[in-house]
Amino acid sequence: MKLALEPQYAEFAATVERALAEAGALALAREAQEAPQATYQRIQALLADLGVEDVDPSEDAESMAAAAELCRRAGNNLLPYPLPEVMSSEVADLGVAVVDPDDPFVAHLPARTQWQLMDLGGTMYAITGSQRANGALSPLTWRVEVEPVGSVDVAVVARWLTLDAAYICGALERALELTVEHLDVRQQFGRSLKDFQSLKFRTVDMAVAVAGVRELCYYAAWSVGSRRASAVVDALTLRVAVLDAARSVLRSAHQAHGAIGFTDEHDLSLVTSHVQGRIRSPWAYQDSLQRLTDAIAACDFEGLFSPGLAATGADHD
Amino acid sequence: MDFDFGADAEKLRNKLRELVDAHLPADFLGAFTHDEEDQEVVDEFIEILAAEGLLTLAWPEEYGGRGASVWEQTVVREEMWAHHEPRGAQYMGLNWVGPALMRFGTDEQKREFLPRIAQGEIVWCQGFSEPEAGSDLASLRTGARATDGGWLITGQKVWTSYATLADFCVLAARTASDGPKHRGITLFLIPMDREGVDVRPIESMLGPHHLNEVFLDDVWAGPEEVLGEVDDGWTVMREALVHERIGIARYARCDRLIALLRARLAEEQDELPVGLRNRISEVLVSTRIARLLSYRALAEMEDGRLDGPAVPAARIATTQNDQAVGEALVEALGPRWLGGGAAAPGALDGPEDVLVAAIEDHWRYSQAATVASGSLEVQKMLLARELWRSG
Repeated sequence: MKLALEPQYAEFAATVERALAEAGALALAREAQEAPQATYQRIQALLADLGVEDVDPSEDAESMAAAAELCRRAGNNLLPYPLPEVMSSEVADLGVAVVDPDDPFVAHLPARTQWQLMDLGGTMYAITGSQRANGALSPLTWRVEVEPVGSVDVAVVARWLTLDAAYICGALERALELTVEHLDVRQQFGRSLKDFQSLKFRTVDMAVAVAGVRELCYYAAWSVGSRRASAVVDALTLRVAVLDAARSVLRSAHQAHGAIGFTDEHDLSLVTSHVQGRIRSPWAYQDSLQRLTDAIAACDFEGLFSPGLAATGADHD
Repeated sequence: MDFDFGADAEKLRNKLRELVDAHLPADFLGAFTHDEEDQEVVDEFIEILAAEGLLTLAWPEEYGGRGASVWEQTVVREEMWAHHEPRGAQYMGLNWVGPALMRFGTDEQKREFLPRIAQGEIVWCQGFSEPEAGSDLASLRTGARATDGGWLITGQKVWTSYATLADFCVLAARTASDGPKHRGITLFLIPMDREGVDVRPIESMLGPHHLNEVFLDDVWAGPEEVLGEVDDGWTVMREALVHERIGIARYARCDRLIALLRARLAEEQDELPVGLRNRISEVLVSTRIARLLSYRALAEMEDGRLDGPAVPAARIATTQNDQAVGEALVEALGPRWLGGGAAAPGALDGPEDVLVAAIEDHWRYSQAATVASGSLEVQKMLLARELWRSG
């Protein structure tokens, strides 16, 4: 049982975190809204300099966990760049994402010149057309048209699901950090808002939700990276949990911030808008949950008493 | 990153399951029933575990343990709770009394008690809560009046699980009133057969034994019976409560009951409403979260961090999950679960009835999960303190 990243990966993640902060943190997301292509190029150069592309999540569980950690830090900074899509791909310059072929959306489409889209079953799709969605809640999301062109290993599907969820987890952690800060600083009725128990407890609920998702990120990364038979179930488990958390965390964050949280100038509105694409596409909560139920029916769910563990509990290759 | 327990721990898990299969009756649902035979089952099982060195695995060898890892100890706690805790009330001594003695006990106290706990020879109860001091434990009023060579303790405790079964009580009493209320509390190790101790059971929906009143009328305590420092019992209590809060691997019983129900339903699962099928998936997710957060808290405690957000986060998730799982299971069963098994001892027969009784028992016991050992609201207060301490 090892619940921490290897030290060299933990240090690397901290280095990347610092670099993102120095590059402007959430200011990058604002810049990208105005000038996406220029920002994508700038970020690509920054990540290349840092050596992020040297982390290959298909290699083993440790590298997959490192990739998840990097995506989580990226999400925490709302990095306007398709890092989950880039790291899920085993081919340079190719972006990879899971979509609903009946309503496909891709984040940061222009950041890659080539794309390979997939559905849960592993059917591969090519893009035949695209249009920037441009809603207030989809600042850097593109609606695409697709046609099936083949199939992919479902391991790639599980990989993307995990890294995408890790990004969302990081973004939710940002919402929590903003809330803790706001409730501390904002005073009404002669005291800091954090002293009001309902707000205090609601923030605690956010923290527990985020902590639980974070643990599932590590678990799914280990499962996917170790190529366990349960990888798709574990990745869907993570997706269900992170979407459930997103619903409550973002709602509570906005409630805590009051009106200022809705303004464009406040970072919280940036979090909410930039994460919507990932939490609604390819499937929102109920659709993701249904897919988890179907996957469990096919492949079971690993707990302390699942059939696979009842006997020897070891062999999963 | 690795969530495998490793070969040794898995061997231990399989061994424990073999012992359970071999030595527990199929309809065993714990020691805390009206049927005295269940306590006999527990007494025999304790002897078997003690003989195999499995009661205090992770204790240092000098105290009767094998110096095993926290993860091997976790396997023991998981398998025991999942199978309705066949160690009975012993788990208190193992989970937090033993650790408290190791940390704060005198050499004589360690010599006197630790080997006996390791052999499963003594049962402890916790004399903390009072009618006027539940969440606000520091307000406790039971007083220890200094007298010639010791103290005389008078007051009343409530909750006090397993007090009728216990040999000793870790009793919190006030020895000073002239300062902040959490100062001035002293912990005493009191034999339950000492003059002046009177136990009255309280029947509840949790089942027998879980709740008792303990009346103390001028109960003698000597200085050698003080655990930790006089007036500083709070230091010991705080740490004991942290161990207690995550000592019970609640998620393990949830895992087992969900697995048994799913196996029992088999193809019938497809006939359940889609919402209920999906609800079962949701509680599989939340049970995994409870388990992983518990592991995180254990890892933090191993690193010496007893404060911090991990323990209350684990407790909040685990106790609420217990209730969520209970609800999902009884919905999947339909109203037949109301008959249960505890209401009609001896009526259990066949695997399905035992499962129904186990789920019914779980639902009732889980009602107290968010109240016991520091209520949900207390856990949230503790976590809030951590959020804004580091924020």
